[in-house]
Amino acid sequence: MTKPFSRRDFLKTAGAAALPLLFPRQAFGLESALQNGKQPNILMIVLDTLSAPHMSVYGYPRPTTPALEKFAERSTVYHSHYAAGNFTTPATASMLMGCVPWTHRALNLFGLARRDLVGQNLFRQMGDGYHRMAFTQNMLAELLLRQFHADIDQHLPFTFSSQDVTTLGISQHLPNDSVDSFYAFDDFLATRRENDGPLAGSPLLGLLDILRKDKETVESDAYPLGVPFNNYYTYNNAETFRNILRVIEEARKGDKPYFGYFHLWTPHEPYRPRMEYFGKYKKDGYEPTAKPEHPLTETFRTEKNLLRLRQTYDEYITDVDADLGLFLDSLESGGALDDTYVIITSDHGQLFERGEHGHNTALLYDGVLHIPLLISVPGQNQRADVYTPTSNIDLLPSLVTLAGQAPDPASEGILLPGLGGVEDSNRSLFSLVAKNNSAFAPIQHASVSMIQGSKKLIYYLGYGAYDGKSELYDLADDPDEMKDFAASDTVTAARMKAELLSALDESNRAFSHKS
Amino acid sequence: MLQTLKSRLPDRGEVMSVYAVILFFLFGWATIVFLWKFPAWLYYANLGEVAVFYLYTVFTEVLEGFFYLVILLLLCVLLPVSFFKEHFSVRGTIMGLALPAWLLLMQYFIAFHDFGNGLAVLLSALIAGGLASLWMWLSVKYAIFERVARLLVERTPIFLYVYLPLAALSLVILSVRNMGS
Repeated sequence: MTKPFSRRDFLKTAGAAALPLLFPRQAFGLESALQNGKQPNILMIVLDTLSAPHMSVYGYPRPTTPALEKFAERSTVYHSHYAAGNFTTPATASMLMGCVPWTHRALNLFGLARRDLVGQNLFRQMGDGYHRMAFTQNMLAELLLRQFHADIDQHLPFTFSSQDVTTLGISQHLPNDSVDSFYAFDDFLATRRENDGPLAGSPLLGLLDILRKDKETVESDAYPLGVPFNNYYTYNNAETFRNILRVIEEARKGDKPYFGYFHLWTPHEPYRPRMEYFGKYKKDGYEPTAKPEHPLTETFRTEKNLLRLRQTYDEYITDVDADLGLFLDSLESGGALDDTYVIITSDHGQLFERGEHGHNTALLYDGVLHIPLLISVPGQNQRADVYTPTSNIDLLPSLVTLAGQAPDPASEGILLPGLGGVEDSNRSLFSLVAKNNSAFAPIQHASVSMIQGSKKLIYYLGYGAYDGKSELYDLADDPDEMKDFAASDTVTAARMKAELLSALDESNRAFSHKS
Repeated sequence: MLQTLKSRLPDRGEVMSVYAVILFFLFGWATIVFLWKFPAWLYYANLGEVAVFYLYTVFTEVLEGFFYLVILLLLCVLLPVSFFKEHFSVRGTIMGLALPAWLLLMQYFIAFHDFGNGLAVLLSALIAGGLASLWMWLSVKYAIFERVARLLVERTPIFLYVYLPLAALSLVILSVRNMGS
């Protein structure tokens, strides 16, 4: 049966057609980038767990991101950019597959994308005209990259740029079966996940693995809270950026343009700022809005505790921003910004509110979904701002189009405004957390967020007494999401809820035989 | 030299029987943890993939069992013949159980009690070694303790008919999966 030509299809087509009209190459110096016959390079830097509401480039009162503010002066800044999931697995899969978690089904912690949709990944769609590189310090994202391994020309090892490795990491040595061997060895036989299972499945491998754990908190004068650590190894942000720079400089010399996906762990917890940033915001007078505890809170933190965590997180962001700034300066001085699209984003944000700290939660408030997106087009020397809501699922069609390829029609994203897309404030953006729902069954236990213009509906499904509850906010008037008017504006709430449930039902249809 | 070495080693039947006891313990433990993980895996892995995890488990445990067996054979060479080799079925069984138990205890103290590595090694060695020594001593004094060890060493070899073919199958399948560019 032929699929009807939807509004979304129209927008995709119109956006693609408008690209050369709206953004002639000369406008951003693309001509010079293409003079040597090469397409521009595309560099994507993903900083894990970077919440836009904590960044001064988005108006946060603490000066957390001066380097990004500088970079913004030659970039397009997306002010309402959203993750499609609230933790790495669903959010990264959405970014790399261009679809909402209910489609790609990487729903669970350490979950995987639908095997039959793996071919939809960004790397394959970029085509072999690009030298495709990928690296991540986040094991959840690494599992997805391993699923896409065949489409990546240069898949840098997970321990690239690591210091003290605190795990055996056996699966890394089995590149042809690195996904299944991860679950066998690094999630069962050798490594016991915290709070999971009795002990490792193999007495010998388990012991060899656990004996490395004492390297987790490396004390250092430079790092009062310990050296940065990603649950698997310690690392140094500045060194990581230097190593990435080396890799991309090498790639720039190649015959093909490169596409580099570099997904750093930082500023994910544990927050470990250097001495010069530690305590920077202590008693600075900033007081965020105190919010009441939510019934679905999982961590039950006190307000005082949340304030302390927020302070350290902000300090760590400032620390990371300084290293990122040096990296961007190096790109600029090396001329890379003249032939490279530079994209800076995150997979998801972080919550410090309503008793919740973290992101692996049932809550979908802005702190955990609102993420940064800054895109610098080759040669761009002026700032542009996009206020229309956009989603990380839009990156795939946008980047694939930049690479001169046609995005897979199954992609649910549209071209980003500023990269050929048109602004559509009535578009519905969905984000989802269904970490306790089987990836193979209809979604019946989830929180779903739908953003349409400035309105945001959060719908809770399968949470016992909270089942079927919804919250409605107006982000324009109430960015802190304090005034829930689901009960007062019943018309808007009902309309948005109907659309959300319709989309959810459609996604569930393929799995309905398993309900 | 080789002849002397051979004379200090137990016969093949005894070795295989003790190996079976070790594998019985390792597979038993791995199965407990496997079943713990199984429901979570089913959230995102299909049965074929879970079967592959199990094949890795089988292969690993068979190799690991061989590692403990080599240690026991080394003990046979090093310890007085009258103490270890001549009682290999019973004392090899006890030591074959104590070795992996020692390693598990070490992990337990580190993972659940945050003990330092040194303390964990010492304490677990005291417990596992103490219990193994006690069992050996009791097996001399009271027949029932020897009978328990003999029961294990006589009955578990039947499982070798499952473990070893499964390990061979694992080797083939996992080799194929790990071959290629």
